[in-house]
Amino acid sequence: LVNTSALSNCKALPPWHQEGNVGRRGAAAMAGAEEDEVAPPAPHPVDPQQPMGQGPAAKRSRSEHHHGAGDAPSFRMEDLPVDVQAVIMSLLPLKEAVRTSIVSTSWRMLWTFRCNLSFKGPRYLHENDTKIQQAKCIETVNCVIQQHSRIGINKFSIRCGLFEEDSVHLDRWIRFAASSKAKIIHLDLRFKDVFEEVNHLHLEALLDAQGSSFLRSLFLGGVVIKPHSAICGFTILRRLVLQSVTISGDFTGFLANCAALEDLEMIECSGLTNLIIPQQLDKLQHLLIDGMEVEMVEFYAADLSHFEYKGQVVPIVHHGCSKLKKATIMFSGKKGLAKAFTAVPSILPVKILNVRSVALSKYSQLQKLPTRPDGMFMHLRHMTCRIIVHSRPQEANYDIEVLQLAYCLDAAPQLETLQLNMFYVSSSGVSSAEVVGMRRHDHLKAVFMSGFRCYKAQIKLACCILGNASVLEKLTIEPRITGTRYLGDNTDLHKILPGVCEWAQLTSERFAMDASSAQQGEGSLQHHH
Amino acid sequence: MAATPADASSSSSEAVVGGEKSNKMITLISSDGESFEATEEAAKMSVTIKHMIEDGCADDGIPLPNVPAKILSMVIEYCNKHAADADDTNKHVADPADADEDDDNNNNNASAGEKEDLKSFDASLVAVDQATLFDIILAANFLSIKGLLDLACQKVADDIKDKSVEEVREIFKIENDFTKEEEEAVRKENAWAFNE
Repeated sequence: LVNTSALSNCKALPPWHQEGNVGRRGAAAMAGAEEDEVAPPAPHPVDPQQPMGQGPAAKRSRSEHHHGAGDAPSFRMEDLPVDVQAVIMSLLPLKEAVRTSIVSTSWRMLWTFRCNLSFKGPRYLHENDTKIQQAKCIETVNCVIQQHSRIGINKFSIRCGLFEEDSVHLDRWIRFAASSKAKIIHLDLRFKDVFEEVNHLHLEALLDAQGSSFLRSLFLGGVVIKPHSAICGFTILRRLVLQSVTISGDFTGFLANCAALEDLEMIECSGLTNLIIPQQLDKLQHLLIDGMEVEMVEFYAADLSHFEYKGQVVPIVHHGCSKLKKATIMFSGKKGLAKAFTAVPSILPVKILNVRSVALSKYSQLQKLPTRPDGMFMHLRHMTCRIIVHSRPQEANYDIEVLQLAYCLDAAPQLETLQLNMFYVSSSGVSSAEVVGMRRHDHLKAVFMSGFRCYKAQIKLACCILGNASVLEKLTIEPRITGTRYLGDNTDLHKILPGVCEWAQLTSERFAMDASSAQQGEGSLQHHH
Repeated sequence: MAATPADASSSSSEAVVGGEKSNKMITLISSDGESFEATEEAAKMSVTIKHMIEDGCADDGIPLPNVPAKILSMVIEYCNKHAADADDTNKHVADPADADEDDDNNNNNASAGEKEDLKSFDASLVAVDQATLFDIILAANFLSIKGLLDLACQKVADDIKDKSVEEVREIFKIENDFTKEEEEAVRKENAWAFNE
């Protein structure tokens, strides 16, 4: 007897505007609907098509009963201010929140004011039940967005691989996101084991009818976009992250209209030859470029504070005065460390530097770095360095990159702390015994080395630092492999440990320092005052 | 400093002039006329009260007609406990070095114990009957005390989580006023959530 289609078109109940309003959520309230974008809801308690058994009369008398002192029901969820209700609903997992709709009529629509909607589906194409799970996810999303009030949405997030034929759903989701004025949209439609993006996403569709957007933060993954300079509605967008996105058209022109952007991250996107960040992005604080196959990177970004680049060595041109404080450089290919210190002049002013290098080729030679002031890192205080080492059997000098660090220290005379994480993936070669020297360093206070297993090159480096760092307070060595995504082999630690501790003991005596070993095998040499 | 109901007649604001932190006591008056005292620091955890103090309306005590005495004393207890914590957090200087690896930050050892302490205090504060919890929420909302509001809302969410519909109705003393047809319709509308 109940008209289900009328109910499912019911967009929203009018929100309470008065706090502590102990009125009745009945027909009277609904008549006061103020949202002009919402169709007058079908008032369900007085829906004439409903059986009158539990009709409005019964309901009204029950809610009057609420106001009696003493024997009233003790928690009147419906009497809480609507934004508090939304908070409570948002603290429940979505499924549970939706299930509260069955508790009572007054609870029925509570979940539709939930501010965060997140959905997860299968991320890998080649798994058994991908198709089924994916269909389920799509159905769930469609069901929820149909019922949701569209009011107060903060975050709308879908992480689910999508096929080309699902584009009709994608369009629907975009329309919902735009009309609900969501502040944060996260659409990750990648199948992680597929490398071609097929889902076309129209950026204009994220704008509302007036061509503007309430978006603060946008993540797009696994889509094809065609930006152009006429799209100018993203005026309050602060954060833009694109991962595995195919870009054609005028990306730079589009970016120029996002003048509020503070954080731009591009990961493994394709379609761009050069990445040019226009000067209109003068509020940009953080720029991340990872695995992009571009020939050149150029940016203005006068306010940039944190720059990250992972990929091939390409010209990186940074115009304008630099407020850069922190940089992360992970060049692929040979001599990653030396390149990080020389190939990107605009990072010279940083205070904090993260570098990573993969030691691959035995033909690497040590490279001395410029020691004139305009070629050095005069403000660098803290450095984190990851070196991943591969070797072939009998290969000599395979880990010479570790020694390169000594020359890098020459180029950072103000450095105070150094964290070096080494990961020897294989060590069947001959560890480098190259001679390496270092200038006296008057600021280096604390050094931490993990993956330290008394390889020749590691010992050489440690002794070089111990001998030249005049104010060194503490050198900590940790045989375990830390600080890297790779799962290091820490299983044979107990065999290595005694050797490392012994070395630490001997070395500390040699350099007149105190040695101490922590429980897990971490040893530290501390300067004795 | 525990909240003590003070005589309405004795005014006990002691302004410390020129100090960093004023030790001024603020008088808060519950809906049933009881007076409570709190330090200005604790009272300012309520944004509502903070504005009133800054606007100079707090000198003769602040009447809170929406908050009964029983609830007000709990609110003040919360504020006292958390005002001290907020102060300590502000004093902790952030490590400038990049901390994306998990290095031991010895500075936190002392406050780890305090954090546990706070956690158990919070848990016991909201381990109350539903009616009281409801009133705490209303008070925290009215007084704009975010931490307390979040805490109480989380408790409600925890009371709902992992419970069956029947259990939820029992906890919150709610009558099921759906007709069979209505209930069917709701289940159908959101089939995905009910199918398990």
